[in-house]
Amino acid sequence: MKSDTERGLVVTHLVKAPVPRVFEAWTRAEQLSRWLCPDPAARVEATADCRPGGRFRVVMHMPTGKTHTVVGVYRVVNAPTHLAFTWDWQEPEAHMGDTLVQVDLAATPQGTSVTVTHTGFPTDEACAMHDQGWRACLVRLTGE
Amino acid sequence: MPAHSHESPRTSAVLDRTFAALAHPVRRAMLSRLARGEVATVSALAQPFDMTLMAVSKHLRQMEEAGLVRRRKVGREQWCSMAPGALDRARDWIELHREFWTNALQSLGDYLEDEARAQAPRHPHNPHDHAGGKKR
Repeated sequence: MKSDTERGLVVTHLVKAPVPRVFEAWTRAEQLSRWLCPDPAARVEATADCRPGGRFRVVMHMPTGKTHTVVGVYRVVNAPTHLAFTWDWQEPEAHMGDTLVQVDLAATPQGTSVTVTHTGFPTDEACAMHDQGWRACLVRLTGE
Repeated sequence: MPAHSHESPRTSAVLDRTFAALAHPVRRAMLSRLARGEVATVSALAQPFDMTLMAVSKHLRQMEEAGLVRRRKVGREQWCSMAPGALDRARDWIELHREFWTNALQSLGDYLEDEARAQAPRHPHNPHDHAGGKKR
């Protein structure tokens, strides 16, 4: 059931590694810091307390010198196939609120199919209300 | 972070340009005007701002490179219009995250696959591997 508040995206990727290994990469802070960033040239620091109610924090130091931080709370931890957590960029002028990320891992002959479902994005109206904050957030997110 | 060999057509650099183009108040103001359906010359767009035409043109070029604005030369004038779909804010925000996760999952794969390759035996069929006790 799709409504405006359910707006989001689904991304799937095949990883040539077994499901439990992939789950570990998602749930251990020192491993998150090895890959959770859009820019391979960035330096990432992560802390993660991976249990329902536990928190994580990922700080991305972009090559441009800018830093982006995202925090969240784990809602569901079903090893080794399902993870759900909130996702909240810490940008001072942005009031985008919590979105929800769900991660599903499924075994395939080649390894693991990783599906990320990211929902809870605001509608156009909500973006209009927070125009300045939204743009500032996007700027910071892209390392301007 | 280890270097990754994958090249995605829509890299963070492309995203950087897109959203950097939105970062400046002058650019946002010009884009808002174009978003209302106006098609305007560079000089008309420059009117409200206390800036040189060259400075305004530079802003417009940045937005053009980001795919937000189109410029067409008609005679001696440059006419600007908004590129289609350029200002769907909520969609941009979602698309930014789609790019984020696409790139991050690629990195996840590279990280785990590099690790698997590093752990794989070098010479699986080398008869010397079976000789004697454990090799250090």
